[in-house]
Amino acid sequence: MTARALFGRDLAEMLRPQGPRRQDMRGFDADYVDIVDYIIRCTHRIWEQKDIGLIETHYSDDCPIWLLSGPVAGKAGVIDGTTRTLSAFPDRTLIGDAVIWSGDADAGYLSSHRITSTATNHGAGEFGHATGRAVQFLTIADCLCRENLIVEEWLVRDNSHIALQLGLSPAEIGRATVPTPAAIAWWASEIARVDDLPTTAFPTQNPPDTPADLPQWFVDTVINHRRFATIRALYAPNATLQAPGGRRLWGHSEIIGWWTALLSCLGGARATIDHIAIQPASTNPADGHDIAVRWTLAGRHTGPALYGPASGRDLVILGVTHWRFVDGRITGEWTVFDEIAVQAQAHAPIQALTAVPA
Amino acid sequence: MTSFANFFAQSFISGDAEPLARRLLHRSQLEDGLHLHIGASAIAAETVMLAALFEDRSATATAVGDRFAALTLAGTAQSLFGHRFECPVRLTFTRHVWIETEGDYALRLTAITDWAGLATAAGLDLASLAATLGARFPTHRPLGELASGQGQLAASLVPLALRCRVPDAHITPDTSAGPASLSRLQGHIAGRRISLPLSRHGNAMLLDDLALAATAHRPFYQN
Repeated sequence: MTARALFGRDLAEMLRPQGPRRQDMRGFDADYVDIVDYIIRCTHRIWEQKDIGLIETHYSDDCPIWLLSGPVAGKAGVIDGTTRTLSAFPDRTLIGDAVIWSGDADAGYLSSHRITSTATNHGAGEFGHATGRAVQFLTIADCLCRENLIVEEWLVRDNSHIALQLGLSPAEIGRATVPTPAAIAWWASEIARVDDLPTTAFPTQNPPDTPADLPQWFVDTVINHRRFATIRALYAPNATLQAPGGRRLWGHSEIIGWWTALLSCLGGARATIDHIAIQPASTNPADGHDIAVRWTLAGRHTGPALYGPASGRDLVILGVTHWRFVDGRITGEWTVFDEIAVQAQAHAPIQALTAVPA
Repeated sequence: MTSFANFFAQSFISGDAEPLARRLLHRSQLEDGLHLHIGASAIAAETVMLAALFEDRSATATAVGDRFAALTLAGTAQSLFGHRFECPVRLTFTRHVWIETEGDYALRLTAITDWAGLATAAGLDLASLAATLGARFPTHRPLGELASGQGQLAASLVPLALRCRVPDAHITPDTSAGPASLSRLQGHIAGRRISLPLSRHGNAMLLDDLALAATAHRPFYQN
């Protein structure tokens, strides 16, 4: 027995009692039958039904949460942040698009949860006064879960898309950001971690047929060695890409265009993989696999394509990519990171960025 | 099992989208021109709102399995696109819907609606409608996506009439079902990126011309 994926399942069916457990869920509440059920059900309860207090029984006291805007820790901060977000967007729906997991009950389950949110900005919040505008945006939450608790989380949200739909400028928000000392220190350590990576030989292999080989091949070939032409062999001709800023791109040319634009901003950029999860999309092998990859990309801001005039600063991006991989080709990609936090690194006042505690 | 084509036809006639909604997933999405409807509730609401534009509704549907529906919709409108008619107007228009399923459910729907034909038949000013529609949909500046990585091999067979409107048009096949096929029109108009579905059923080609014209009026996001 294993967890059931979301393929072909409606939320109403998923929220009904699911019967016996399908997975070893030692230490989890009795009604969670597998890790997918845990993620979907607790997300609905906490964020849609607004039982925000349940965070107390679903997050560890000192849970680190890694956001590109800066790390935070502890469930008290999660409760405060969730309350603020739901106050600003009280009708937020969190539509679970995929839960791609790895691990087991002993080591912990790592769930990569892709969410399309719809909401109306009916309250003041981190983006300013209420505008009454409707927004939709993509989030991916990578959560390490043990015994009913999320003990570590990496959270990427398409914040620039929210800002744009509210009539705001992500660049201006980024420029006005005062990064926390913890953010500045973490960015520096992540840039150093990527800088220390050994260089790899020029990749000459064709795209892999097997999902397990895809993430490392992609990072090495497409990102680190800029072999964008291989995208035509790797992606289906009608593949789609949802990219930050709410971009919905279609086909080889647009996918190549976006990856080229991103890497044109970051001279010498390289990426490293921090986590991979692969699951069958459904019980039918013909439906392919869902792949989740969390990655860190770092390089020098030398190009203006996406994030304003080149600042010459070293930038780091925490990103998560989901792929649907069918018959040896990517048919859908969802890549999420916080472009406002990238803008902040590039354009926040320089004194703020040098205010690293000794 | 009732085909999606019949669900769409019956929903239009009855104004009740509940039976259709039961065949959608919570994460279903419907693309219709510049609009994107996310979630079963939003798609059902769009279906009801389309029906609510007309009285004395009728619909005929041609289906190719559960993947494609060609709908001919008719009804009497008192008003349309915010314009109130002096006398009710009887109108007929075409809508193609492409359906990607997961099991028995529709996951991704692509509708191509002949809004321009509808507006023209109603005697409305298409240019004015396009300007109003486009202003509601800000967009990113182009990223150099078009024909990226194709160089001199980027030629694409495009009908002449379309080439005149979109000089750098590209049409790429997406999917097909029997005598019907779905492609994607890409290119630029007034410096704005175009990405619109193009549906063919037999000899008939359907493109949302209103969305295409509206694209020229989309304001750029202030990044």
